[in-house]
Amino acid sequence: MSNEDRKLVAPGTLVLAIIFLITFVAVYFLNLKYLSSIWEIR
Amino acid sequence: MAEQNFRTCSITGLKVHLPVERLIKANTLTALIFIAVGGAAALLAALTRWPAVHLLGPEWFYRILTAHGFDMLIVWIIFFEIAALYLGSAVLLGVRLAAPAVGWIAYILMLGGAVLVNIMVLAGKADVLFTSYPPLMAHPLFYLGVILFAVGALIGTILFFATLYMARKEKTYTHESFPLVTFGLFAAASISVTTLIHGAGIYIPTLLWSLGIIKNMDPSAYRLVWWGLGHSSQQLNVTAMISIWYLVGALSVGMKPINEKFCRTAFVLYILFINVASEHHLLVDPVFGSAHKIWNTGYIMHLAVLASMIHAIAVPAGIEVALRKKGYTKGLFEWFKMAPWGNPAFSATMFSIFIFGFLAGITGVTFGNAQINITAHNTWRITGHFHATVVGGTTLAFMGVTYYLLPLIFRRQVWAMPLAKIQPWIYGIGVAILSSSMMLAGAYGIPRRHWDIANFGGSPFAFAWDPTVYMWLGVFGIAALMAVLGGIIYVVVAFGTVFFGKKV
Repeated sequence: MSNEDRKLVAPGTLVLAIIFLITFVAVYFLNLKYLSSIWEIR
Repeated sequence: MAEQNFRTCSITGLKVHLPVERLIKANTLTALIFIAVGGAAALLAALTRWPAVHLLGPEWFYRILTAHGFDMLIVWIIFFEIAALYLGSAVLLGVRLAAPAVGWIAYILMLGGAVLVNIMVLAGKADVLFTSYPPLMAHPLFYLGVILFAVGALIGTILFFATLYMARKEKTYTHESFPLVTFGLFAAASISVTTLIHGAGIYIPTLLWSLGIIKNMDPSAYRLVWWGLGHSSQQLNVTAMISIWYLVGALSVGMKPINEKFCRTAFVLYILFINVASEHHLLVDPVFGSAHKIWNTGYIMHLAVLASMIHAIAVPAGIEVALRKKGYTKGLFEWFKMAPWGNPAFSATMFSIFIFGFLAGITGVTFGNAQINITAHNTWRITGHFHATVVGGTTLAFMGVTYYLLPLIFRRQVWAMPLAKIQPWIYGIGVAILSSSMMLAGAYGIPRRHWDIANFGGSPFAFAWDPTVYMWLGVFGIAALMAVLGGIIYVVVAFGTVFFGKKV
């Protein structure tokens, strides 16, 4: 397989997908952080 | 004589069975009428929830909300999906519809059921909201209307399967597998069978209960079975929406999926795993055990989410590859900048993808988490989420494909094209802001399905909200006006095309 064949066919979409996954992590984190401030463990 | 019943589309070269063309037109136009009715109800409901306006009194608010939920989530969407099923089978495969007369029986049952439900709701005999939970009881004709609609939809779905069989038998489509769009619609139709069986399983006993034949209706049992109808019907909307994404991608930019097996596997995952995921609607029900809920919503649901992740990368990647092939290869995003944003079908589809991905999908998965759901349940966060899915995702995708149905099936050039071009932008931006503001207000605890959060109807136990809530409710009101405007333009352009559009 040549280097040409190994190139990413959709690099822009890969970046969008990474942004999407980062957003997912951030939203999950914020939700669980918000929940932890309501449900304190004493 | 059989050949006289077909025409060849001068644009796509597809063979179109004339009886199925009439059925697609009937179902599409009826869908448009009901999105207008549901949209009018949306405006009234939004102007009531916006405290600065607070338009309707309590009785009419819940009435209009019931009509809005039913007409949008069920009637508009399912009429459009039946049209899509006929397109995806008979038209894409160049075969005659298995039994057009049966298609008309299905249409009449659906129309009769929808009209009956609307009459009962507007007459004040069914103030039970979309979920119609016992012990709330509606007039028996309301439940009968729902059953008639469901039976009609099931007949239309069976006709779709029969047409696929005909295509194989008459060898009108000789490739090894059906086109991806048809396969996706097949997945949607498969989910609809279990959906409608759950619907029959719950609405027939409920009808008998409303007639006094069954004495007791256990609310928890009702909710368990109802959500087998309720959530699955939304997942079939998602499956149909994604099929439409592939269709519009192909028609607008010549998109081909990078790996079709990948995409087909994702559709199969939807069929297999979406029903157990429905349990996220029952997370706060005390009747069901935690182990059961967490297994279904914390683990199995993610197999359906995996399917969404596959499509989330496959669809944009396919569009990017197609646009790069046209020469837009500079940097990471020249293809994105140079995409045909002036094509209303394309722009509607892209808005649908982004709203569904970022606003709807992420919030759906997080709110479906058992622990987060305790604080999200019954707040406006849920309503914001499902406006992102169905209104920003599915409805916008259907709006987009309409701009192809009009020239290809109705054989009319889109009327008032400048309006059509801006319609997805007005609607998409409006819905995105609307659903975000609902979720932000809901994060402060604003309940869903509530007529008067400012005063709680003069209750001595009224609650003082953080003032930020009123800001988000104002933003919601303005965004709702924008979304309704986008909806009005869509209906006006569509009907304008049918009556005044130049013949293609």
